[in-house]
Amino acid sequence: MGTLTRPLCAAVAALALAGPVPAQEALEEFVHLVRARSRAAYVGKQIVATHVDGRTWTLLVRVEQDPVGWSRLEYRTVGARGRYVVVRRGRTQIEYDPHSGAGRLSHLPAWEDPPFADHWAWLVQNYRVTARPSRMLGRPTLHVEITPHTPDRPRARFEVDRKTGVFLRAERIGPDGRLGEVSAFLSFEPRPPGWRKHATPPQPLRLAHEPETRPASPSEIVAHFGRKPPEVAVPSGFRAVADLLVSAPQLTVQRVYSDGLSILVVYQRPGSVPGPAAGSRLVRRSGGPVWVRQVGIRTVVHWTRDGWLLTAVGDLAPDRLLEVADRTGIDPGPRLLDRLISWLRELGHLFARLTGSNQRNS
Amino acid sequence: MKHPDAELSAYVDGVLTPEEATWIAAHLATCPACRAVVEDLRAVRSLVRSVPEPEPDPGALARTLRHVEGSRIRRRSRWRAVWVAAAAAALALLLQLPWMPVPRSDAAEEAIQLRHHARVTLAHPMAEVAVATFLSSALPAHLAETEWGP
Repeated sequence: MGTLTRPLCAAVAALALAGPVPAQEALEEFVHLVRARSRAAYVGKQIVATHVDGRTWTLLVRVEQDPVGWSRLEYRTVGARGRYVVVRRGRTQIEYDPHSGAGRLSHLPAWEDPPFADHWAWLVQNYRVTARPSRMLGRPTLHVEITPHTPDRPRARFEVDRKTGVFLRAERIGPDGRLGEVSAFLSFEPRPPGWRKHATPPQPLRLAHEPETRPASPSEIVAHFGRKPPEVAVPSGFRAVADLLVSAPQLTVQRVYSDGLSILVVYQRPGSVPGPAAGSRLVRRSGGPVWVRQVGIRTVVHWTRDGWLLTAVGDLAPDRLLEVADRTGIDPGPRLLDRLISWLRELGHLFARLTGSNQRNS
Repeated sequence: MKHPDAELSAYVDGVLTPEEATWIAAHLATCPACRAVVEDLRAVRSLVRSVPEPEPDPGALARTLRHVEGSRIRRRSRWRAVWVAAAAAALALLLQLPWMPVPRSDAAEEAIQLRHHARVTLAHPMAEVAVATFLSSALPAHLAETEWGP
């Protein structure tokens, strides 16, 4: 028996090593590549498919990426006549219609992002990451699979270019197992950094300015609202990344959490009557009413707590976000008077919009 | 001799043509029976004329108008009551249904929240740039609403 046991153990060990568990080197290379990705410069064409507001969008995107210059993404809808350009330099983003020159200017939130080591630590705590060598577009790549330890979170698959760290193909699968977002390069050419250093957007553009989202400390938040917003009981494995203040359409606290892959954002503003969008599903929890809507792989949940309106947005399973509401606390339904006032205000907005559109038409 | 029985009343009332009246008068001169009938008709006529005509009630018009107006007011009151009841029922429904969603004229606020979520995602090291940029811009709404050139 002893002579048989030893080769069997060796075979099992060999099978285990040859199985889906990647070599440690591949994982280390993936970490290195993700770090290097922000320094990559390239031009390419991508196809993107995603789901927004009940529609699946398929787009062809021409990408110019230069960390010294700009990121320029020109989107063309497949099967329709839409065309749109987004240019980002630093944290400033403009998006415009190349035909009319109309668009908007906004600033991406400027918070102190946690170091990559933190993101990586959270990722490996909540997900199983595997990597193996592969090829795409004639280039050596790493095929990376990120699978959650619990089924309430998204999954991701990447083909990572081994020279630049660019995701030549990326797939994001929702907690329900449906493929929610796909992007794949049809062509890809690395360029030297600085190759679009002197690029400027066409002039003139007519840009509407969006209010800035800025980081805020707990004391600043209390100073703005006069009281502290409720503490959010996020799912296990999520860490607070930033607290931001959004000034429009109403002053709102935006709390950002990450588990290494999935991002959970909870919006908090004073109020007592939630405003769920059409298509939201009403769920009666033991504490009170909660409204739930699925938008692609994301789930949006609205509820109230201690005179605050809370909205959670994340690519988590709806049940998990309902648990967030349960554990944070849910007020019973809105007071009758508040509901009436909200209803009348909504009618007022509707009337104003109708009046406005009539004036425009005339 | 033919007696003009049918025409005698008209003769008394004075509604015959002059030729007919002349013929009746000539007949009466020679016919005592018809003269007697004419005398009776004239007596009845005098009797009817002697009855005083009733004076109209001076309050009748006002009463009639009040009556007509009253019925209209009652009808209006009934409709008002129906409207008030319907409004009250609608209000009661609005206020009392415990889990009724608040009506929304649009999904603008939620769309902004979804865009902000995508913007936060853009800063993540694992973000796919083209997808997150698409979701972080107002692009889907514009593409859906605007017919752009090719």
